[in-house]
Amino acid sequence: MPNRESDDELIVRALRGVNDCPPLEELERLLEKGRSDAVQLQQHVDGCSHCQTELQMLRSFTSNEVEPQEAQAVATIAARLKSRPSGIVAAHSAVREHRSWWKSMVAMPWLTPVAAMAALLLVAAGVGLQLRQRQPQLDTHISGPEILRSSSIAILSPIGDVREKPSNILWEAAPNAARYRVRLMQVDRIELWSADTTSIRIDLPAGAEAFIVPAKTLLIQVAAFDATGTKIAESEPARFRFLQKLYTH
Amino acid sequence: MGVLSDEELVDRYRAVGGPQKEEFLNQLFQRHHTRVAAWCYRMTGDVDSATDLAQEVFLKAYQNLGSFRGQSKFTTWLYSIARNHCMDALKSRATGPILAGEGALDQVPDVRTGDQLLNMERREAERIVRQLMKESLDLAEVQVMTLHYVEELPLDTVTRMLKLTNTSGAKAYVVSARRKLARAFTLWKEREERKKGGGHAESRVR
Repeated sequence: MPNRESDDELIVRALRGVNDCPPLEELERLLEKGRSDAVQLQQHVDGCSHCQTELQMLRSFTSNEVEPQEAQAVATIAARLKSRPSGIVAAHSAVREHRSWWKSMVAMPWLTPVAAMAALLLVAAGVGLQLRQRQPQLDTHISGPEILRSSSIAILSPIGDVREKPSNILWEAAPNAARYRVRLMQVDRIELWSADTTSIRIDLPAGAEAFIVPAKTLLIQVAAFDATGTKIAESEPARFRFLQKLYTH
Repeated sequence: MGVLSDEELVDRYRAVGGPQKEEFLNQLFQRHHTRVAAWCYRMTGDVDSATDLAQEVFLKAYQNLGSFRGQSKFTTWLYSIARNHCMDALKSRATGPILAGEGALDQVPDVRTGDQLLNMERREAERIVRQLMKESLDLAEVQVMTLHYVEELPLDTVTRMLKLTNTSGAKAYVVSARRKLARAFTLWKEREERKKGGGHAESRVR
């Protein structure tokens, strides 16, 4: 039987850098063409897999070249980031200069689209309310089997960018719900924490709060179950991100 | 204001107060946000996670701007933040050891270094393995092996980081490298045996 673990460990040790590997600030000299004072450095890199790889990574980062197959994704990420830097910058400066909270709020350019979105939501909610208050009308053209649609649950808090670290999760009640299952997830839907409750609010234990770190987007999803254990409603995953603590460092 | 270097922007950021500070940070952001976005995307392969990571990288950079002493270029300094932050994030997100989750290692050939090497003094064994790698592996294979085995990056991340365009990406390089290494070890063992048996063959690694 091959001593595979030992073999692989030996390979990993050989691939690792040796003690005299140069720091990044020296390695970057090799990115400049025509440097004649880096002969010794180049000799080390030629014989060191760790430094060869590090140099390749640094070259890839500094070149700023985007491959065609990743261009669309990178453009999307860049656009999302670009829509937020003023907020990040304003908030970062707020800590340094101890600006009053209302000045910071007024200064944040992202507030305008947020306000517009809030107004749109209010209009949509008003229209929805009007429609719900109308007299129900029977559709005389219905034929065939009845279609049952599962209802949805609205997460009330936390949602969006929050300035206080959330200590609980609150959602709308679902009719006939006997219990709810609450899940806290990463954006790739990996579950970090979950719990069951009969209430429409759950306090986050310390273990769950530990996952809520500054600037990290998380998802919450709530499912309702009836007395027989059948799932009767579920929320869409609601995004939230805690920003406040970033500015207190 | 003329075109300032990154390092000059950082200097000005430190020197001024008030809203002007934001202007310098914004300029740095405009110059570097695409490279950070690309880096984070290559690390995760997912737009949502990469956006979060990229934002965290910039926040970290802003918070630590005071520690930038200009001993390296600003881009190199930013790279070190992006590199460390993304690697830490990838490792903490992995539900188990990344290598175990790949499934790829079950299908690649064993590298039997042999008892001679495993029983050898540690530094000498590493030196020989390093030399055999240098002789038998090409640069891309060395980089794939280092990122996967040492940095513990998943194979799909390695594929994106090194911009590998072959169908099976980094996995093909791991298979190829391990085959070459197995062959190199066999040849090395044969040479050592011949030497012990009184042969005159010279070891290439000496």
